[in-house]
Amino acid sequence: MNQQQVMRAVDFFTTDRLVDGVRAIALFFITALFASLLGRWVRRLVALRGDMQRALLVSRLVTWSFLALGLAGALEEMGFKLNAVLGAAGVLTVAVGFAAQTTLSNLISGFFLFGERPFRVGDLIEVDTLLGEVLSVDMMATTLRTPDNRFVRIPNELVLKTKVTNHTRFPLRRLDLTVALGHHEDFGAVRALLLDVADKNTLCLAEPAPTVFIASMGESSAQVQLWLWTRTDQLQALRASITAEIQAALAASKRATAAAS
Amino acid sequence: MDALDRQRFCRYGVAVSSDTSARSVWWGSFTIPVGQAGRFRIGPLAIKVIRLANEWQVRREHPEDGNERIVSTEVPAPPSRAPATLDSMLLRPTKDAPEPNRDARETTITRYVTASDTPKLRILPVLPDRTVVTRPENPLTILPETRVTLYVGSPVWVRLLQGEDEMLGDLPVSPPKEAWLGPNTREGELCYATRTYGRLVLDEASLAPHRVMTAVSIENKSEQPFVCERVNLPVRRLSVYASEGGRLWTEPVTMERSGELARIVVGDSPPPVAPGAVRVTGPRDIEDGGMFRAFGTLFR
Repeated sequence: MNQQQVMRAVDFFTTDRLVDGVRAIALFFITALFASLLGRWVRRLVALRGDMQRALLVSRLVTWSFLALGLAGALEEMGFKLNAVLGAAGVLTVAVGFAAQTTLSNLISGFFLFGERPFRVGDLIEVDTLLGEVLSVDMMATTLRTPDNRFVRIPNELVLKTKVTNHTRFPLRRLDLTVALGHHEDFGAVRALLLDVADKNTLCLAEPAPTVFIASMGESSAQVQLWLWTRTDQLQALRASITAEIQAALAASKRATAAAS
Repeated sequence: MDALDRQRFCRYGVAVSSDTSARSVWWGSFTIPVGQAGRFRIGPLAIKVIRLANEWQVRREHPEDGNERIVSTEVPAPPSRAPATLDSMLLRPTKDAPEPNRDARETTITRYVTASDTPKLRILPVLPDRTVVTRPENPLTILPETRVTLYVGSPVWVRLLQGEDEMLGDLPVSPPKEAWLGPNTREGELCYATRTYGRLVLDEASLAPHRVMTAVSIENKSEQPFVCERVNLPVRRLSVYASEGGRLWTEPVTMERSGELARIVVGDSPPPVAPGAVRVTGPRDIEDGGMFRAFGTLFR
């Protein structure tokens, strides 16, 4: 290195540009530290309401927003003209937007899903005809575990466009069962039998009370409808137990009638 | 139960009874050394509590007699015909008994593993952990400016503790029916449902060893009659008292209806019909004074 080069380097490190650079770096790191602390605080605050997924999203948004502000401030300190940078970024955004329409659509749909909250992690949902437990709601896609233990990834755009049924949103579910009743059979006796079976089953709620009615009349039989209420998490257990109990009670009733006649 | 026993209060505001000779008394302290068992019959509940090394094993049996008034305690329980083995305890088929008998298969076994070697077991009656919705067989119409006292029975839970106060678990004497208490099927809370005849006069037939009676006074202070189809009893706020003959009671509860609000006041002593009753277990929740609630949350 000759003397001229050394002098130039000394000039560089003693001019205002060095001071600006140090100030820019300090500003960025201080903002980054503040953004990180604020993000953690926001995450804790939102998580207090019991929603971890939303807490993570909000804290990330806060952190990245403050980091962007810190970066912009640091660039300003270093003498960059942000108007030109933002203009270039705008052109770049349009170009990228055209190239990645699907990705952006999923991303925006993800934001809508976060805002609307039609389901949560752990819910049992049906997207169109696909049934599954929600494993995660990410920025780009929603993942499900089907009842036969398959992993399904559905793009958020599709979830937003399609009919979604949430099977576990409410604490109670109604179980509907149909029993065929011959025209020669007494509806009153069958009604009493069904209500007695429901009363003895501890999974069936006493209130809302079970309901029995004739749903339709066919040529040879009537369709008796039984409505039972249960806790959402006990629906399958009730379905399994009550159908067997009704079948056993009907069979016992027929045996008793046959023995009496 | 003598007077000294009644005065022996310990933690949790519980009176310890070691005298189980009274006909309906099934709670108290029992000593079950390792390798022995105690058998308890409380109405429809029959349990056998076996003390094993580092373990309490509770076998819930299903008595076929259907007698809801039997109360018995056998400590130590008579020995089984065959010596207990791990297979027999877990109801696994063995060479000698390839198919466990039907009754044994219907037995529900709960195992509590413990580091303690205490042989002391305490059994206490406690009230359910949720509000009890009681529906009279037929609705009662209460006229304006009228006060009526209903005797309402709540199902009892059996609390098992080792040593003085280390809880093992709660068992319902009979599996309760659940009910939803709320304005619609989206908002509300789960309760236990029970039926009552809505007795206005207390008689022996309404008392059972596995039910805790509450004298509920309903006062209609409004100018309109109201039809009482159900009473929602906040049993988590109530204590259990035992009368001389071993009948279980709670504090009396007064519910006043005036307009769309109902006020509920829990007494601080046993009801007048059981004047000498002793407190056996305290409430799960402690709240002072009266409590105002929407009319629909207490009655309908």
